[in-house]
Amino acid sequence: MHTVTLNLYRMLLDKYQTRTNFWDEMALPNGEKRSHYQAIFNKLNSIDLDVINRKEEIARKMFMNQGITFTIYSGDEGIERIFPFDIIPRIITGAEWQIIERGTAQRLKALNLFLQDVYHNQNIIKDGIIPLNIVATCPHYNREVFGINVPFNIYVHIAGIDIVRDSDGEYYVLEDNLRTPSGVSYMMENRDVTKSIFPELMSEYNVRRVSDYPLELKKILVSLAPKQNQNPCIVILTPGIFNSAYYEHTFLARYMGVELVEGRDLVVDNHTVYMKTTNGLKRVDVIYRRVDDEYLDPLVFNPNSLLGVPGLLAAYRKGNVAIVNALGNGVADDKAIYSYVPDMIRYYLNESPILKNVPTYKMENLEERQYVFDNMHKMVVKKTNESGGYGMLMGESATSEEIEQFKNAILKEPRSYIAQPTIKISTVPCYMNGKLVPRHVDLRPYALFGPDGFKLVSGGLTRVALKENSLVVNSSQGGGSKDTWIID
Amino acid sequence: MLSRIADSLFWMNRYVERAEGMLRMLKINYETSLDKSDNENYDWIAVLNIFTYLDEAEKNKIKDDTQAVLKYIITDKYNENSIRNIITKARENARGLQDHITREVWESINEYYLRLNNNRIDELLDSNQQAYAISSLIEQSLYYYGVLEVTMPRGEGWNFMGLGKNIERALQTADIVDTKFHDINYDLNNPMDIPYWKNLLLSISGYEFYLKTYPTGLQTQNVLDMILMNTNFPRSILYSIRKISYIINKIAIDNTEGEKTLLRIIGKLKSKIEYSDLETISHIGLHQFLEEVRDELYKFNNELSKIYFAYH
Repeated sequence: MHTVTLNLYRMLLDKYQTRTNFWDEMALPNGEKRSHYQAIFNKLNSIDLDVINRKEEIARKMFMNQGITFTIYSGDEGIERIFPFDIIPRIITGAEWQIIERGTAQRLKALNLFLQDVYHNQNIIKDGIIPLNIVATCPHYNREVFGINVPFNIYVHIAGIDIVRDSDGEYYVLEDNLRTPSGVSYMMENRDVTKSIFPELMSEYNVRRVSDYPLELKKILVSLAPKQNQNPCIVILTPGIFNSAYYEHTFLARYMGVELVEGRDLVVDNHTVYMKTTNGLKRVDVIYRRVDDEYLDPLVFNPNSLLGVPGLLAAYRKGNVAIVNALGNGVADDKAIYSYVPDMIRYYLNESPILKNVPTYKMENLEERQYVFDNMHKMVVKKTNESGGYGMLMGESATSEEIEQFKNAILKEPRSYIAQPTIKISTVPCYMNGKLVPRHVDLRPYALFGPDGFKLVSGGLTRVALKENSLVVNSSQGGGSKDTWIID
Repeated sequence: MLSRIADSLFWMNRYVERAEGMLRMLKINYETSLDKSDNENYDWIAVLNIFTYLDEAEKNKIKDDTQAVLKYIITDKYNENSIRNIITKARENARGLQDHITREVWESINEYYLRLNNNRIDELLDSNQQAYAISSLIEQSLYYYGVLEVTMPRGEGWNFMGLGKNIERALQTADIVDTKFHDINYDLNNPMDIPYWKNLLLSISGYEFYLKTYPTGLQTQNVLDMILMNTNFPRSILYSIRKISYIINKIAIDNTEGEKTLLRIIGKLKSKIEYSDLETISHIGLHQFLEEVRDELYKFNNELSKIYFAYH
């Protein structure tokens, strides 16, 4: 009986079918396995199906009991879900990682210089590299922070750059998330779970560590404190328990050992930020905010916001409090500005870009728009000010009705849309219902940027589109995740 | 500590305590409802009076339907005071406290919540496994208390949690006594015997203690003495109030006007019970006495919020 299941299982594994014309991270088109996946493939081949199923069950229970959930909004009801987790790690070699590391460092350096420039001298506009109207019409260009100097001239302290691999095997940057990128807690939790279900593989594979992230981040936060006191008060500002990333906010507070606050816990007096404690007011030096710019200060931005703190911007302007990431970063990860990042790299650094950009068509350009309209089924259309897979059209699978809807919307507000050719993002093996099947993935590594320089955590969040053939990996659209191993 | 955090710790513990008190009450009444020969006229009115806001007609409609009552009090989504909703609120508070409670505490409250929110609990209540359903929930709350005791650091947060638990417990005990004595018109000389009180005593885990501690005398007065002021009995009102007093003396050390008020309220209340005897209580009337105790506790609670939890 035992050998029967085993053989059956071997058969299932051997049957792993990659999709034609897509890059698979494990298998070559001829069925051979890439060398860095060989050991894990052998391992999966040697254990019983029941054992794998048990490992999957253990992983599920760990997430459920720890309450590692996110919230999905549909209508006015939020539903708590566990983030689906696939037990088979995604593996990246150290050599490839080096390219990603250098590429993201270069990109962030340029983006950071761009932010400094665009809120001060605006040389890049004056020199005609980026058209004025693209910046001026960007909804995330924050006029309120023009001229404000930030500590060490660092705007992007934390970035989660989304990277994909196309069918040519090259890495492309899909999005620079420079505002409040999330998911880093899943990166760490995924690793914890993998440690408990595949300990033998972990030690066999010499996997780089991800667990330093909270301490590295804390070091940066401490260094930003306005008054160099020995024990600055650092807080994480969360929108509250109903926010979809709330679990992560608590996770970071816990592992950095800092206070997690909501807007209502803070008060500004005489341009200084305080938190309300059982012993009265206590001064706050650094805020790692997970609240968007427009909700941060009802006196300046959205007056109806209850998530922010009245007077916060004035305190920031005076330099009495440091805010991470800086305000106004949205102008740099805007989907229309995105297409200029390679130009920024050449302009500010005089280097050629290491990581490629996905070609991007701007909808206010008549020729480009016509080209996109003629090729809608080959395009991904995105709203420039949306994220998380909302406001997106996948031309490949869209109905003609949906396509018409998007065309009309584009004609109404061309600046609000961009289009990109559908990237054939790569697949990795996933374990589903007793079978090993290819699913599409992206990669979000986490970068930290402080006075001591740039640091990319050796790992990241691999997001998986769990639906067969789907190219959308966002958790809000039915995506899951995997542990991500950088191996030496 | 953030005011909001102190507030949430206080309420998290208060909600779990409330649920536990209710569950114990349900368990004992459920068992009693099965002793048909002794309790021919048993119905759930007393329980419904204490734990629900239903009107008379609604209460009368379900008072003889054990299954309906249990489902209403334990899992009904639309009953604001159902165990499910109470534990959901406790968990909501716990979610806002992640970095102030240990991971183990969070997991225990999350498990409790999950147990109330999967279909299994409804299945049990629908299939004559009510006793098992209730016991498994009580175990969940005992597990929570155990995890608190073993993993939570002592200090300010711990103190606020202690206040939440003991204020809730004192109020709940006062409510239960009030209801039970209401049925005998608050007559302290009523010759009701042990079988009448057994239910009440069991529901507050005091039956064995009672038999050992009060071998003779008028049962009605003994029961009242034990529940009001026996300081070895952890569910007596005096026990809880002494705890509150002990804790607030550790918290209120700044000598502000507000803190002085707090200390005064609880000091007076403690003395009031310590120096009362059944004769004086009978003189002002038990119901009146309990009302005064509750009023003072509410006043204490309001002052506490004003001084430490005011963050709105």
